Amino acid sequence: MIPQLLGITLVAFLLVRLLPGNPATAMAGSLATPETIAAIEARLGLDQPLSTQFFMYLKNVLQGDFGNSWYTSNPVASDLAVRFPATLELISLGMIIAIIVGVIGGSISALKPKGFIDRITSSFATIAGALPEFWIGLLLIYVFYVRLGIAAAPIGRLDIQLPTPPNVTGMILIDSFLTGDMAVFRSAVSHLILPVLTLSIVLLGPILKMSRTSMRDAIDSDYVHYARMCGMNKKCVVEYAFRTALPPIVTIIAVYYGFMLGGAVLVEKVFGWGGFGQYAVQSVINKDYFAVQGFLMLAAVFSLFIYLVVDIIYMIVDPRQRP
Amino acid sequence: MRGIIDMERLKTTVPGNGAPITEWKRFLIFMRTHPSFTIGLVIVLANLLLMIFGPILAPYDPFEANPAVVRQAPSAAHIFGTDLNGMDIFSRVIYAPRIDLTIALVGTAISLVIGILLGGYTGFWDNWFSTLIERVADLLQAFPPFVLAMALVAVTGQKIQNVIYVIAFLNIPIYLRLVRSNVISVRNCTYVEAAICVGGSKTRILFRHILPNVISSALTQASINIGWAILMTSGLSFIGAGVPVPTPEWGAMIAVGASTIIMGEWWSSMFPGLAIVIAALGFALVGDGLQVFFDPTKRS
Amino acid sequence: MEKLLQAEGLFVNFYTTKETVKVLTGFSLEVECGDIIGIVGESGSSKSVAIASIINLLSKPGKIDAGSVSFEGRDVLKMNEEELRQLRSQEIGVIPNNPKGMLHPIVKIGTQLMNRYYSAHPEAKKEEAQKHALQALEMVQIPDPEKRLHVLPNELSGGMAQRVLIAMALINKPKLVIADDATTGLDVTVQAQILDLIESQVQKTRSSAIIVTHDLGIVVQYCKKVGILCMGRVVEFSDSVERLLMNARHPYTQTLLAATPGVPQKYHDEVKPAKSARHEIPVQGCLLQSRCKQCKEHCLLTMPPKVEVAPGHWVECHLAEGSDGHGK
Repeated sequence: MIPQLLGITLVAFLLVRLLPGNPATAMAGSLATPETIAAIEARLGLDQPLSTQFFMYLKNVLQGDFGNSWYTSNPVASDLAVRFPATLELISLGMIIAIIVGVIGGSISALKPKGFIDRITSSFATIAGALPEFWIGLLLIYVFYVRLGIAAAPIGRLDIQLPTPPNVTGMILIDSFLTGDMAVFRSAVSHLILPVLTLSIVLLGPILKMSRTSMRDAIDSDYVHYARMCGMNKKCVVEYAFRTALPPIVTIIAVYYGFMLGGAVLVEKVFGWGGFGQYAVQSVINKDYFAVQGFLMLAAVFSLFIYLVVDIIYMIVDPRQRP
Repeated sequence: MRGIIDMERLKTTVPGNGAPITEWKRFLIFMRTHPSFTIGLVIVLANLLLMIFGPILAPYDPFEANPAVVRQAPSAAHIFGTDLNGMDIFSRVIYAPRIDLTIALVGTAISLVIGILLGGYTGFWDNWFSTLIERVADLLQAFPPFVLAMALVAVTGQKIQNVIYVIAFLNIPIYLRLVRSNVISVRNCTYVEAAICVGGSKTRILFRHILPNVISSALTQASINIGWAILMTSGLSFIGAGVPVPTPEWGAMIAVGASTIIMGEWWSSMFPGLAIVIAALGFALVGDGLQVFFDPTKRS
Repeated sequence: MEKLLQAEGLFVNFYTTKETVKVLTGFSLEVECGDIIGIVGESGSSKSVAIASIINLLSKPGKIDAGSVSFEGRDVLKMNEEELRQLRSQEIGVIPNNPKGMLHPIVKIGTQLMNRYYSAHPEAKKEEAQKHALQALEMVQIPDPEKRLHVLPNELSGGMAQRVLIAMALINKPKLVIADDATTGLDVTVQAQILDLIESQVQKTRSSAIIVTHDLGIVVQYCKKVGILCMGRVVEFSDSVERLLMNARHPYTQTLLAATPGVPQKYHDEVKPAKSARHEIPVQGCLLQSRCKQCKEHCLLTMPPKVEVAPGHWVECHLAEGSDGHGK
């Protein structure tokens, strides 16, 4: 674990410095004199050799200090503490819906091939890969907000006049529920509906596809056929199929979960969410070194964590994987 | 019992008189029996035609902004309506394949070629250079690709060729992995050993014996990837990190339309979006069809 | 005495988008209690399809188009899902080949055996099921059965895995055991052990067995009755294997015997091997007309009749007509 974390820190550090352009120049503005720029550089420590910069950064990180974002004027850590849960809330809800619909839909399709559900899921699986998520978001906004007036306006996570609830997890839905603030909770829900729906549609594609294929392979397998030959009861046959069908589905879920942390940026933009991906976008454009580093590190650590969970799931399901 | 079913899948079509048929004829029969593939093919061809003849077919100049006709709903004069700047959406939508498809095709082609070469190299030779390439490819895939793409375009400047290079660069690992695993599984086969025994140089063996077998799976992957490339290009342009501003590109058009959709002006976002879906779908259908054509045992 | 199993006139076709393949063309078989019957057929899939039809577990696109199967007088083809399930779990045990593929790769052997036990005894407790699983492994002479209950199939050798399949088939003490090419791919010594095992278990529990194989030698050694399967139907059948060896009447049987070492050298090749694994079933006349060297004109016109050439020994062939006083 530790060497990987160290590697991630180093790579984030180096990657950011590959960006051409000088953050000091960006910060100073167009009217700055060379002296101003030099002064900013000294303040940021950019005039030091790379190795010194890296160790300084590492030392600070270990103490919880990820530097400051010059663009937002906040410590990067506190920016991330707001942005990360915002996106996490979004993609987690979207993923939950996609998993439920996808796995159930895929299983039914596999159990009753060429049936009604199978036809729908296979058509959807084909189209899903061609859908631009930002367009779907706009489509949903047009239908449900502009025409039907059901959903809330796509301008962020809450109605403007409502205060954000006290920060327990950073996820407004959970926080408002925990503190019993029902008005905020309802507002959060109505603002979450459309972007979550958009993300579910996007995530449903690959999950459905993999569930269908994986379950079908399991059901067509020799050992499931043999279980039927032995007169095993239905519960046993289904369990046998699921045990081997699950790992590839879990893999795809993990891959997309990590991917969506940054990949949700387009949806975030459409709905004015103020999320993690958007933070990365603006930081890159503004050459906000510490912010970008913080983003890269958190994204990589998140992926690492997910893969760890996946490995544990594998070991539970497949005894061959146990050391 | 299982034997008969498996043989059934592998049997290729034989016409009534039992004579062997050419690949071309098999392709034509395939087109007839697989309507979704044929539809995809039609879409792809239509897009390619637009790519070439788009400017001629456009009723208005796709780059011309006419302030007198801003934000008009679809009508006889402007089939798809006009946008915020007074540009005719229909003309821009049918001009856009020139941009989107060029980027997608060229980008995919570059990543295909480089990916195949690198994949072949890392699969066949086991040295430090091989390992380095693999590690870099792994690293590339660890970071969120969209943000990475955006960063690279922001950094290199918003020009069409940069978008091409970025898309090519990000997709190389896909082909590298594909070809590499194919080469690895094949290199231990007897026919390769035989070729080496007879004194063939490794490079020659790679190109003449191994790669031809791998090409078909790489090509079908490429066809599916072109759809993704179109989506990525439009996504980048939507967020402002893709093609430069007045260029008629589907994603950029949606961005322009996004600001007015709240007021009910659906046409400036919807039509370009539909165009993206149709184009990407076409390539995806062709890709799936090719996969089945080249390897009937893999029907999904 | 009521027959244990009676399959009559089974016609099975496989319907694919390109063509319809005729696999069983009137397959019939009778099994009485205590029988050990061998079914010999060439490589191809009629044998497995026949077994699948008997337990009504035919995979799509196969369909049973005609015929009947009755087990202890009950119509198998008309049973509902639950009755079929009980039939397969309690009363019939099938031993397929391909043990590594048939056992679930990530479920322990002991659990798989216990699941089979539960399928016939749904109210059983865990200890009882475990006891029976252990007994089943001991019955098939697997060394160290206690430990083996907790292993996965990939940790077993081919021979051991095949023994597990036998244990699976026998754990619920079925009335009929069907071995489908149960020893293909195993070493000859292991093959002998496996077959000895099946034979002893069947005799001990006084159940019946159908041993399906392409190896005539196995039939000679282990079976009492024998049927010869060709082109989807049984073309010759004898209550006594020895009598068949001495007096095989069907050209196909004679060809098989001519090719089997150890058999009296009085038979010659009468039937050419099949051109492809896919049978070309003629519309009219004897099914073997394109392959049989003795094919005469009336063989092309009418199906050969069933002729009893000796007590308990019948054959379907025009050439045998007259030996029982009937026919031309």
